[in-house]
Amino acid sequence: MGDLVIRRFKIVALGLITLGLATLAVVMALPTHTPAAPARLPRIGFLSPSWSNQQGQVYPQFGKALAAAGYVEGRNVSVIARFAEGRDSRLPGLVAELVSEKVDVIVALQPVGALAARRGSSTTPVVFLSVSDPVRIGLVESLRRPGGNITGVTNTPVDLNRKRLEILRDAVPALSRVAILARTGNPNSQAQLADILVTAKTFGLDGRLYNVKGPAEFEAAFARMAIDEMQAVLLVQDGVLFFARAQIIELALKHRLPLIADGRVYARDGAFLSYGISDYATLLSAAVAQIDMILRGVPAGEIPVDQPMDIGLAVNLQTARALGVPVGRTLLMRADDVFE
Amino acid sequence: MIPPAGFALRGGVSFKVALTLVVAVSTALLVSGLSEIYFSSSALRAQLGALQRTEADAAGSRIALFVDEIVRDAATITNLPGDQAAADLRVEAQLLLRRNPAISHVSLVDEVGREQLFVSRFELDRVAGEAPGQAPAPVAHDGGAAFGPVYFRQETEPYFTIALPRREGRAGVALFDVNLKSVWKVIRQIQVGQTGYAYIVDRTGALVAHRNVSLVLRQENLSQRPQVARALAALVTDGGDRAKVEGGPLTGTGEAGMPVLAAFAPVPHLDWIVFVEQPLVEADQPVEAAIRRISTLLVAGLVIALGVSLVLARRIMAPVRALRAGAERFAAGELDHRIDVRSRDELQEVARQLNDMAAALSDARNTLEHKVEERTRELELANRAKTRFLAAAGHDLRQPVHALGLLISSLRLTLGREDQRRLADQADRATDSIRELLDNLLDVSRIEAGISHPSLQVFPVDRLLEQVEFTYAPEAAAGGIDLRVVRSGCHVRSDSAMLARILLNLAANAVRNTQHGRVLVGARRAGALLRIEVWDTGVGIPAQHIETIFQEFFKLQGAPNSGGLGLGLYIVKGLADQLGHPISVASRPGKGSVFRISVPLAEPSPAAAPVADSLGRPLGGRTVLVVDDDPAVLEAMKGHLGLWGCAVVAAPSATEAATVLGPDGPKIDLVLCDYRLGRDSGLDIVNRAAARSIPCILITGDTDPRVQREAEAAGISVLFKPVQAGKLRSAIAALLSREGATRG
Repeated sequence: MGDLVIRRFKIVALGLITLGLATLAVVMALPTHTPAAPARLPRIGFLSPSWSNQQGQVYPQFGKALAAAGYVEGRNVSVIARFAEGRDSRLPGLVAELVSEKVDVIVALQPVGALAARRGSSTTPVVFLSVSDPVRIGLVESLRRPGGNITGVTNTPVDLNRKRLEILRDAVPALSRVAILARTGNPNSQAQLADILVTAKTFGLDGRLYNVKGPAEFEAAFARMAIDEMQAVLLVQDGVLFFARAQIIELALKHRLPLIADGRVYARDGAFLSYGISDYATLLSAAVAQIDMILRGVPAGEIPVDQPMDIGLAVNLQTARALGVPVGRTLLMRADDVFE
Repeated sequence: MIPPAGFALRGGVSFKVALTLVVAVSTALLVSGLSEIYFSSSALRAQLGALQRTEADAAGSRIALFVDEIVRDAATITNLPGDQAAADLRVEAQLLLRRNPAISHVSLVDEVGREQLFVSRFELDRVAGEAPGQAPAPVAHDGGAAFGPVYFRQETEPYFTIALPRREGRAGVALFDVNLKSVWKVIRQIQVGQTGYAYIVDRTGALVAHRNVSLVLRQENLSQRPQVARALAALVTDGGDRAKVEGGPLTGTGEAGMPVLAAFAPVPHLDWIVFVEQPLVEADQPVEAAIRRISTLLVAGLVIALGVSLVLARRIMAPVRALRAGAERFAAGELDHRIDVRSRDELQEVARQLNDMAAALSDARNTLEHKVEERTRELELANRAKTRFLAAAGHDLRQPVHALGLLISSLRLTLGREDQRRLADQADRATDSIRELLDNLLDVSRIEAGISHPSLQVFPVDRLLEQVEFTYAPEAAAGGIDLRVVRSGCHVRSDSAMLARILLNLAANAVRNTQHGRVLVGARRAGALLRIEVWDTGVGIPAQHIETIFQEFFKLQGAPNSGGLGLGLYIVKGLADQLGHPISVASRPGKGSVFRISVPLAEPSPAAAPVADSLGRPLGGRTVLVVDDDPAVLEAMKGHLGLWGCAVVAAPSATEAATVLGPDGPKIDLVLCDYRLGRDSGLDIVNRAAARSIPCILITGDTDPRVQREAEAAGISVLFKPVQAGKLRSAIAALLSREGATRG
């Protein structure tokens, strides 16, 4: 009898242990709600129409912005960069390459890059950068709800060219003729020109457009400004011009023309004034915030276009002195940055 | 080991012990585990809630600080003297924009809503009269700041307007459009756990900020969510005094109806509420971990409890098993066994009582056995006395009857007158009756003495049937009974003498129990057996006696006087048992009975070639040595053998017989020797004769089985007194013919 009972016991014990283990297994197997580490690293495509060495300032900054948001290249994200090196015709091919690499999102710079990325893939989300007016060039349906599979960060909250004209008018005494230097190959620049000219007229200024296709035409343009007795230059924001800014600043100085441009970098590099984005890094971190949302599964078309707000005024006093332009106290106080 | 089905398995003590232990342990573990889960989960929620509350408070403070800063900075405009020139105001406004990047526009509006100045970060500035008037924004009655609702510029940019009254005697207000992106940033940076998030609603429940900005841009109103509704209600009752508002934690619903743990904090001075929420699934993760831990503990506890209970059960079971085994051994009769249990508890007491009981039983049994032994011994003694009496009576009666028979036979031969012969015949018949009675007594004593040495041989059954017919035909005829014996040509394997006794007894029984009608004796084949049947039309046997008729001294009530002792069927049964022949009886009272005995059939063996009828063989010319110490017997034998034509040499003692058988003695053809010769044994003579190849017959009145056994061992024929003359003659004839056959 004893043996039988004990055998029975063993059976019961085994049963209970099995039951317990099963319970344990079930408990252990309960979903933990911790997002599982993705099987593969999320891939971010980086598309620039420019040269890698020129864009070199943007690309490393992009990496820093990613790192600031917790994305470290090689550890929890991989970045695949493609540069068109000034040849826009290469962009569609580069987009196709990124798509074939199965990137999760493409960061596209400048209107040409953004448009190429959007055309190249209807499924891969696109985040644009360095685009002033995405609605006007047909990149998005609206800033609030871009639609499609694209969102991004604009260069400025609004067209600041008119504001720059106002600042130029306040800063340069007895201003009556303003040269407007633009690369009308940029659709954004093209779109802004009319406004600028109307505003100039409002201010009672004689605004004239000096269109350039590239650095090769700078000399001629400035020569014509001199002939036209222009008193100041308003540079209409453009990537190509930005990368050739040293030449432009030098020509403006040579022709003793006060220059106002968008980025703070212009003033730092010798332009008389700049009014626009104080720090390009803020745009990059805004883009990274959008990328973060996209990687979390939010459709790009649902993410509002971000508009930078940290607009700043910079003055280069050295240039002012060289030009013989007096810098008023008000201007100095207003300036967020003053370069000596 | 297997107990009577049903009770032991289900009710095993150890099983109960283990069950109790396991239930107790698991209950304790469960209770403690569940309470731990309960308390830890509520504590955890409280803790998480407090954390979220802290986050909400911090966010609220930062936002309040942000707003306070704007209000403080804006004071530079509102505090300006009333007669300030518009250009100077513009410069001050521009400087304010530079100082506080959150402010995008500054405008001054007079008491009728006319715009006096507009300075912007993005748009062209305007001075008095350049723009159409608009309604003045509401200003708090206490002269403090008023805060407008959230609205959007350039589609996506969140703004709200702060209105401040102008001081220094100037009517109107200063309006400051404040970009709320920095507030958004504050909210976006709040992260609780993995998926926790924060948002802000205004007093109507409309979203001001949310980590998912598209929700804000869609201008969602969250007042329907339970946690928001409760917070708004609290805000109204407590008048926005943040110290009084209990900011959670409370549960509510998040996006997509997901249950959340929420905490909130009002933003000072603004009717805004900061919410920090975390989905419950995530908030309860530590609780799940606790459940997992407790489950592990529970399982481990159960395993340990099982182990302990097994050990305990074994320890409890050991004495129980000993008790059980002991009881089983007692039941099997091993009353000397003692159960060894030293558990120092009730079980030990039970064991002691069982041992006492066994001892008592053992004593009682021993007494009983002793008594039985005594009785058996007494019975044996009595039986032995009976047997001794029978043997003695047999022997002592045999001698005279033996002589008497021989004498009457001799006498008859010498009588000349018919009436004298009839008398001699009657005397002879009377002697036969006595002899038969003695035969029966002899048979009984032999059966009871247990000597049975059936010498099985194959012989024709017809011999026995013939014998029956010859033996009982006269008696049957005398009684007016038609005795019919159906002859058979079959051979059987049996002891012919014993089988003959059986059949003769059955036939005698039938003839004597039948007053009229007939007796039929016959045999029929039944498979490998020959069934010999004896039918009669006698009184029959009542059913209640069928079982007892084979017992000794059985006599039917009212049966005709057979003159027997009632031993016939007893002998039949005893002989049949010794031969292994089944015997049965069927009877109908008043109609008759039938006895059947089944004997194995056999093929006639060549060895058993028909022996010439010894009865007819002449004995004349043979010399017979008769040895007997009883002179009467010696005389009778001498007379008889002389009548059969034999020459007789009589020897009254062993010594004389030895002389006769000595080398100088006459030629002797046969020795007839009595077993008891005073102090000598007939066997010596017989052996001596056998040594000279003289056939011998040992005649004895002894029923001592040893005599027969010794004689048989020596290969000597034995006849028991009283010997019928015919029997003696046939025995002599058989011996001499065998002798002749071996010699020839």
